[in-house]
Amino acid sequence: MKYLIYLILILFFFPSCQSSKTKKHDEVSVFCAASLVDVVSEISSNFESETKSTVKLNMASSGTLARQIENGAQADIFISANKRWLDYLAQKGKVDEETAKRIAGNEMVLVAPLNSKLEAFQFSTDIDLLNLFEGRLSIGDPAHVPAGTYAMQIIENLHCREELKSRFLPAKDVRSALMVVELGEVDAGIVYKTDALKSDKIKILTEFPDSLHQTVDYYIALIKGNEKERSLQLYNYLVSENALPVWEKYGFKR
Amino acid sequence: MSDILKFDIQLHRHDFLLNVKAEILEGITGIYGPSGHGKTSMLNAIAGLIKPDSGFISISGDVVFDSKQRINAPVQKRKIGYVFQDIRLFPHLTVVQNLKYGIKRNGASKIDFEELVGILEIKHLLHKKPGECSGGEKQRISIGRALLSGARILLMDEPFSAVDVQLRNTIIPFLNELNHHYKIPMLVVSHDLPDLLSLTDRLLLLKNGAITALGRFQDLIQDEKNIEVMRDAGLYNVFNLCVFASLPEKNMVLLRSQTNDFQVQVLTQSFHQKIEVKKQIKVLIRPEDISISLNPIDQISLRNQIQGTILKIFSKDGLSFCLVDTGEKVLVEITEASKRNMNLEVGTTVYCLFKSAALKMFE
Amino acid sequence: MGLTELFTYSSAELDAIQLSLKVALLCTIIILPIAVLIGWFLARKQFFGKSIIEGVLHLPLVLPPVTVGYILLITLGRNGWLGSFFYSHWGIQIAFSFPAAVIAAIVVSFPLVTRSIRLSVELVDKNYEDAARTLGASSLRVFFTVTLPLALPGVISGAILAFARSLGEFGATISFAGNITGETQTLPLAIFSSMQVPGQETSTMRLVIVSVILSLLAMIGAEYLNRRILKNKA
Repeated sequence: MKYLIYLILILFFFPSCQSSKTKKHDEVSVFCAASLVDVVSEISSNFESETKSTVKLNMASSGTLARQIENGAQADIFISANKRWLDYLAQKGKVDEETAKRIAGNEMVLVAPLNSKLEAFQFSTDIDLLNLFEGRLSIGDPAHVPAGTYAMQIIENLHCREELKSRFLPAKDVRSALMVVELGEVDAGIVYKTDALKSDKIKILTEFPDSLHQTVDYYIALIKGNEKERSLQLYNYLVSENALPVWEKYGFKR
Repeated sequence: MSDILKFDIQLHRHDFLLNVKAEILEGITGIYGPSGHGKTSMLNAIAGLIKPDSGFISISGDVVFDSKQRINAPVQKRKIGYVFQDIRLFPHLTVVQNLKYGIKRNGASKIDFEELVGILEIKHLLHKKPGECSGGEKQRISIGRALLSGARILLMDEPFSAVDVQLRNTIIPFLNELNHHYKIPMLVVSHDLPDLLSLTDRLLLLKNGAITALGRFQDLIQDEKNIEVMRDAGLYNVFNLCVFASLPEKNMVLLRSQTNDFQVQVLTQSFHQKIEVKKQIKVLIRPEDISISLNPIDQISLRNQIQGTILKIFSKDGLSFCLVDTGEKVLVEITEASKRNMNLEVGTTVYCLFKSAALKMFE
Repeated sequence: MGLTELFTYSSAELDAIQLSLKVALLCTIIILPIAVLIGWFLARKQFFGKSIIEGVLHLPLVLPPVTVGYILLITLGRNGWLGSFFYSHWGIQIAFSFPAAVIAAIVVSFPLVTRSIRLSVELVDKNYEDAARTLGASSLRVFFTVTLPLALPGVISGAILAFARSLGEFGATISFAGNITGETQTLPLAIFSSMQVPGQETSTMRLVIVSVILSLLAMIGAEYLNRRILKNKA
C-alpha cells in the first residue's frame, strides 16, 4: 500500500521534472477572440507541424481576454475582434505597440434558425427590425463582446434601440449567441458572417452594410513581458501570405 | 353477557406460531403468560397493527378481520383503545392536546372530559408537555387518551411494568374505577400474576403462542396444568370478600364471602381507607403462606383457622398442592413429606392456618 | 475605489439583488411541498425500482451545474422534447425567462432538500404513528399531526439549504435562463458579467459584498430557526 502511494506521487511530479526552461521556449500562448477559433486553430496547427512547437489557444470574448491579460495571465499573442480592447491593453502598457496591426475583417449578418418561417431578403434601409420577428434577439453582451458592440451600433443606427432593449438575450461570447439561435430558442440573432457560414443549423436572413457599424476589424499584437523567438515566428506566420488562404477559407476579409 | 371481542387467529412470529381463539366478555380480562410468548403480538393483531396470516376477529359484532372473506379493517377504523407499554404520548403536543387527539372533530366524546380528568387526577398537568410528567402520570394520561377516542374496548400492554416498583400498584385503583364508572371492557396483558389478579378474576393463560386456559382464576387453579403455567409468576389465592363487621376490642376486621361461609380476620391497620360494612375487598394470599393441620389449634398466635375438605391433591418436585373446599376453594402448598406424614388424601377434613399479616388486600 | 462608490448601487445591480431574492424565495416555496411528499415517500415506502428513482433524483447533486442547465435546455427549450409541446400548444417559451431561472434553482436544490427531509422522516419513531392510528387518525392526519411536526427540523434545514443554494446558483441559470438584466441576471450572474469587463472592479466589489451579506444572513437565520425548533421539542 505504501509503495502504491509513493508511485502515484512520483507520477504526479514526473511531468514537472522536465526542464521547464526548454518547455516554455517552445510554447506559444495565443489569446484570441471567440469568432476566430477555427481559423486560428488551423493556422496554429500548421505552424506546430512545421516548427515542432506547441501552440496553446485561449478563446473567449475579447473583453474577457483583455481583462485576463490585465490581471497577469500569461499570453504571448492577443487577437481582438475590435480595436477598443487592444487600445485598452496598450493604455495599460501591456502591449508591444509596434506589433499592433489589423489582421482581418468580418461582416455582420442577421440570422434565424434553420426551420424559421422567415426568408432571406435583400437589405434595405427601411428594414423594420422590430416587427420582423417576435421574441428575443440573440447578441453578444455589448459590455465585453465586440460582436455585441457592433450589433448595438447597427440597432442604434436603425433607430430601434429603445424598443428592442427589452428583447436582447446577451451571450458571453459570439459563439454562445450563435448556439442559442441554433437551438431555436430565439427567432433571430446578430452574429459575424463567418460564424453564420459555419453553422448548418441556421440561415442568413440578410447582411448588414458596413455603414451601419464600425468596420469589423481584428487586431493582433504581441504582449509585452515574455518575449520569445517562437512568439514572433507565430505572429509573422499568422499575418503572412501563407496563412491567407486559410483566412479566406473561413470567410474572413484580409 | 354479550361478547365484546371474538377472535380466532394464526400468526407466524420468529420462533413460534401464535394460534389463539377466545371470546372476551365485558369487564376486565387479564392475559397472563411469560414474556415473549405472544401476548403483545396478540394485542397488535387485534388492534390491526399486525395482519394475522389467517383467521377472524370481530369487535362488538363488527367483523374487522376475516382472511377468508378478505376483510381487513384499517387500524383507525377499529375503535380500539390501546395503551402501549412504552406509553407513546406525543412529545410535541401538550397533555390536553394528547388527550383530545382521538376525539373526532365533529363528534363529541361519549366520555365527559372534565370527569375523566378528575378520575385520573391529571387536571394539574393539562398544559404541560409529556416530558414534564412522571412515569405514573404519563401512564394515566395515555389511558385517558385511549378512552376519549371512543374506544369500544381498551387493550393494555404491561401496565405494571412501565412504572417504578413503588408506584406499580397505584394504577390499579384507577383501572378499577374506570371499569366501574364507564363500563368499558378491558384486556390487560401482563407477566405479573399478582398485579393482574388484583384487577380481575378472569384470566386467559397464554403459553408458547397458544391459549391454554380461559376462565375464572378460582376455577383455573383446580387444574394442575394451569398451576404449572402460573407457578413461575408466584401463585396467589384470590377471594372476593366484603366487610362484615369490625371488632375494635380485638383490633380486627371481619371479612366474609357473600356467597358462602368463608371468612377471615384481618388487622384494622391493614386498611388504608375507611372501613365500611358491605364494602367489597379483594383478598390475596400465597399458597405457601398457608399451613394445614388435621385439628384446630388453641395455643397458637394464628388468628385464622378455617375448616375445609380436601378436593384435590397433586404433587410435583417435592411439593404438594392441596385444593381445600372451605366454602371458597383454597390452594395450599405444603411439602410432600408433610402430606405423607399426615396421610392427607381427597376427602380429609383439614384446617387452613395463616396469619392475618399474610393477607394482601385490595379495596 | 471610494467608499461612497462602494455603497451606491446602480439600478442593474439592485435588479440583480432583488431578482436573486425573488428566485431563492420562489424556489424554496415551490420545492418544499414537493420535497416533503417525495421525502416521506422514499422514507416510508418500498417499491420496485426505488434505487433507480433515488439515483435519478440525486443526479443534479453530482452533475456540474452547467450540464444540468444544458439538459434543461434540450428538454424544456423550444425544440426540446418536452418544451416543444408547451410551445406548439400554448406558445409558452420556458427557456431564457424568469421562470427558467426559478426552474434551474429548483432542479439543483431538489436533491439537497429531499435528502434532508427524508432523513428527518426516517428518524420519526413509527411507534408514534401507530399510536395515532389506534386513536382513529387517518394516514393523512397522522402525517400532518405527528410525522411532519416531529420531522420539522429536517424540513426547516432543507428549506434553508434550498434558499442558500439558489442564491448561489450559476451554471444552470446562465445556460438555461440566460444573462438577461432585470429578468434572469441573478446576483452570481451579475458578478460574473462584471468580472468579464475590464474596469468594473467597483461594481464587482459591490455585488460581492451583498452576496456575502445575504449568505451570512441566511445562515444566521437558519441557526436561529434550528435552535427554536429544538427548544420547542424539549
